[in-house]
Amino acid sequence: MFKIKLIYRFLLNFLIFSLALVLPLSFSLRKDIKAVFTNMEALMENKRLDEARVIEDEFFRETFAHMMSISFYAFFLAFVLALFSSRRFLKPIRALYTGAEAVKRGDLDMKIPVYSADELGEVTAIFNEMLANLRAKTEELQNKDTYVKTMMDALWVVDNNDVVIDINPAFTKMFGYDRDQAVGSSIYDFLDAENAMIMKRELGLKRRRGEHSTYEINITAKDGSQIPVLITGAPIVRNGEVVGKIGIIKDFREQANLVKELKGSRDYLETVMNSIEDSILIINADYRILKANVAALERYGEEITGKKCYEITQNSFRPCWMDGEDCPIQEVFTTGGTCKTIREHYGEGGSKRYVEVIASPIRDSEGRIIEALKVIRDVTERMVHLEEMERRNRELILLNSIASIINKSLKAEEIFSSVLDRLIGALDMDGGCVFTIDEDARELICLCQSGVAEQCTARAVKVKLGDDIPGRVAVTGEVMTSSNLDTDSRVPVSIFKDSKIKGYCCIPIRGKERILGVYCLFKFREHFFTMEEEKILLAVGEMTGLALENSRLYEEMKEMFVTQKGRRLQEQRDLLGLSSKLTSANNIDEVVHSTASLIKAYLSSDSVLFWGKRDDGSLALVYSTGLEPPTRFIRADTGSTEAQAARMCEHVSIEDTDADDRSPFTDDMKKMGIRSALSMPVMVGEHILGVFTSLSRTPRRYRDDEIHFLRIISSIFGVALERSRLSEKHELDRMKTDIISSVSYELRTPLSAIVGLTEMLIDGEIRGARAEKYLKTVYAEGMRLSELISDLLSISRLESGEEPVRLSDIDFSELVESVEKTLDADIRAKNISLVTEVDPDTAGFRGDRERLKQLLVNLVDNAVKYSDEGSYINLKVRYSEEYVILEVSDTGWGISERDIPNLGKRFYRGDHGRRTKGTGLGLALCREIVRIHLGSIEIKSVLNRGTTVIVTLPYRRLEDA
Amino acid sequence: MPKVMVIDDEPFILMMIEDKLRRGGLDVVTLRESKSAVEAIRREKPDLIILDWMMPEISGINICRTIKTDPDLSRIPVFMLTAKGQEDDEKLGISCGVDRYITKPFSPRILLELVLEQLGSK
Repeated sequence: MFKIKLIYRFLLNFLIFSLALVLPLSFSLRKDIKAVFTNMEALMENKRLDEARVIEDEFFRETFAHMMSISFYAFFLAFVLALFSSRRFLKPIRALYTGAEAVKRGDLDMKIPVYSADELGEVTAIFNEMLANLRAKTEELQNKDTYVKTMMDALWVVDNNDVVIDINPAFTKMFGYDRDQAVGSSIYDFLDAENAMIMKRELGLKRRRGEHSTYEINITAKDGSQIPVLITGAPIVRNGEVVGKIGIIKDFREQANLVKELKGSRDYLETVMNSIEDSILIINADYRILKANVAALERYGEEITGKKCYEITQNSFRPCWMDGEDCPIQEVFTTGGTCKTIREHYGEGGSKRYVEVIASPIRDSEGRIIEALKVIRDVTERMVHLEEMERRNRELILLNSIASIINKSLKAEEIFSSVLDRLIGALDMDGGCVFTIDEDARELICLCQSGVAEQCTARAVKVKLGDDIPGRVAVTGEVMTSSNLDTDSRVPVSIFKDSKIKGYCCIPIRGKERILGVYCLFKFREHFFTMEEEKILLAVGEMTGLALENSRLYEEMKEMFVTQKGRRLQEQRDLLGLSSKLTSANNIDEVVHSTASLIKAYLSSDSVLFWGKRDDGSLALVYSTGLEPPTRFIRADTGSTEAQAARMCEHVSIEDTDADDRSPFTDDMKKMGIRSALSMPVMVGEHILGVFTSLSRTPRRYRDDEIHFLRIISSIFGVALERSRLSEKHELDRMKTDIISSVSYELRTPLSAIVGLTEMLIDGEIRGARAEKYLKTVYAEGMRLSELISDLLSISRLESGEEPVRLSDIDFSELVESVEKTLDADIRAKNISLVTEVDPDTAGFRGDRERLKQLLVNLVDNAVKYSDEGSYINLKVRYSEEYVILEVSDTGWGISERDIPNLGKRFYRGDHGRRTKGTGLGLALCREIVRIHLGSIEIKSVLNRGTTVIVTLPYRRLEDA
Repeated sequence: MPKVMVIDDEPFILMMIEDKLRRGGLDVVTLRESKSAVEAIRREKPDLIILDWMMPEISGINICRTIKTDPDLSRIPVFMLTAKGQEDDEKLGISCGVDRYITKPFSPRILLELVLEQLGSK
């Protein structure tokens, strides 16, 4: 066919080429012929026929010959050209042919050159395109195949009969089955019974729908192990018809483990969550509860999941923050932080509980807060405890503040108004008032009020006991409270009723034994007074009751204090005076006298007696002032107040002898006109020294303070008495030892002379004038001894009081003369000028003349002894109103300052001791003489200038004593 | 000839002791006041000292204490004359370094014997 076409083509080409070659040839031939015919015509016209014939003949011949060769060449050329053109036509066809051959072999990597732009060329180009497409497709297919092969997941292709048509290498790898083993098997061959059922169900379901399906299943591997896989199956649809199914099998071992783990941890978490006693809620930004643990379900109900948290916990229809409450969830979502707060939540059953809420954010992987975790702990008990404590604390603070008010003041009005204000403040009242009871008038009087109570207290200044609320409380002592006065049936009429008061509380102010007043507290709203409030108020009532009593007591005490203060002061002054007198007094008579006078003055008694206790226990009258008792001795066993007091060691009193006939002694007292008596023992420690008795002509009851005073005086007196006795005894003892030691010492020195010198004389060692000197010394020292002894005797007699004081009127002029005479020899020997001066007004001074002479002799002798020859000595006797003053002054050696305090001590001789002979007893004797005359002695001296001794003797004191 | 120093405020005691000791063949220095006693002792350097305990200004016991604590004088024996007869006083005297304690009144004869004995034993 193709060959015929090819020949046609060749012939056509040849024809064309021939025509193309012959046509111009024929044109050039026509021209030649035309030229020949023109020539011939011309000849023929010219009847040149021959010639014409000849030319014609020649022409024909020539033409023919010419024609022949040209034609041959022309045809040959045409043939060559036709051949050539046919060859060009054949080449692309051949190329196409080889191309097709190559494609048949599978070689797609070729390209056929396009030789012409004709149809063949087009065909070639299309062929090339086709090849390229084919190549691309093939590559794609190859790639896909590679993917399938390199897929990690296993893959199987199954036909509608569930027979495996194909698997990929991953399948082999995963399950161990070769391709040959797998292909042709039913998919159920790879499943155990259980999984086969799952598979059948899945396939049945999905296939019917023609849907993709994903399901988990366990495939039994070649080694028999069950491998969990996730199969994603898709139907293979061809021409709109499901022809099979392809399944991608994902190894799910890891995932399964993960899921297992996940499930485990989720279970764990749940267990943890559920084992927490606190409620745990997971809440989203919408306040919706997503999850709740068991505790939460138990507390808030099983159905809470999916509900809004505020619906559950607050019974509210909107979030808490809208009601101005803390909302931890909102807080968490706005701040991103953890929020902790304490709230009140409604639990299941509507009970209100205190909870501590801790909300913290739950964030996703990008850190956004997606949910909030809310841990709710029931702290009701704690809060109740805390509230209780706070309440207690408030109570304590209140009571404390009230106590401090009470302690600060003793004025009732001040206390009550402060306490009332404090109560109103602490209990959040609107007002209140305080009534005190006037028992005489049987009325309550408004002491103070505060706040709004004014309007009613203005009218209710007084309330009768038993009337109205305060009146009732005052009578019953019971608290009265009401949340609403208007509906309180107990009080049909009340002064408070028109004053808008609703809630009230009235409490009694209790004293120790009775009710002293009433507290009223008011509220304009209805108010229910709690037990605690009532308790506090009662406590305050009791506290202030005591305070009121104290305040009254204080007022009484103050009054008493003022009146008694003067008395006490006087007492104190008296006691002080007495005690100083007692301590300074040496004479026991003086002590008794002072004490008795004080007692008499203080008790305003008619007579005070002091009875001294004797060794046999009886009492002897020592001192009496006022009335003289009928007897001076009381036997220990009598019933007299004194004997009783001495026996019992306690005071004994008789208020009225007419009324009290306990004592047989009362008869004696009656004789004296005595109606009352008080006897107080004078004691030192356990030891009774005597008894003081105060007697009165009127019946009287001795007050406690009087008895107390007498007791104090008696004890001071007792101490003084004991002290004086002790000191007397002690002084005597001391004197004795003093005298013994001093005397023995002082006697030894002259004795040394006597003993030593006479020994030497007897030994015959000393003779003549020396012996005379020795004898004189012995004599002088003997005299000194004698003098010493007589001085000592004088002093000791004076001190012991053994020698009586012989009182007589003293004529000082005569006395001074006698002194001068006694000392005349010494004065002359030292050429001393003695000037005497006696005041002529010698109005009857009484004293012991011999002693006074001894005194003056001693003083003047001292002046002589301690003066140089030719000195002056002045002796003056002066009188004043109460005293006689004896003054001896000299211009002698004087006494050093350190010696002055020691003068008058026995045997003390001072700096000048060795310059003169002396006993050291002169001044001591002088002191004793002055003492018995109740006078004093003063020595003034300046060394090397002279000495003045001043003796002051009181007038007539001796007569008093 | 050993030298004895006698210190006493009573002149007749001084006289008596001086006479007795001189007769016993001793050199005697007397002093009637205690104030310059230590000075005098340093000057005279006696072989024995007879001191009265009770003297105004400085007592014999204080002079004795001074002597016995002075290294130059401490070797000199001291006789203490005193009217104090109590045992306690004697103990105090001995503790102050008194070599012999002689109670008044005393026998001059025995005193001389004691002095000679003391000087001889040295």
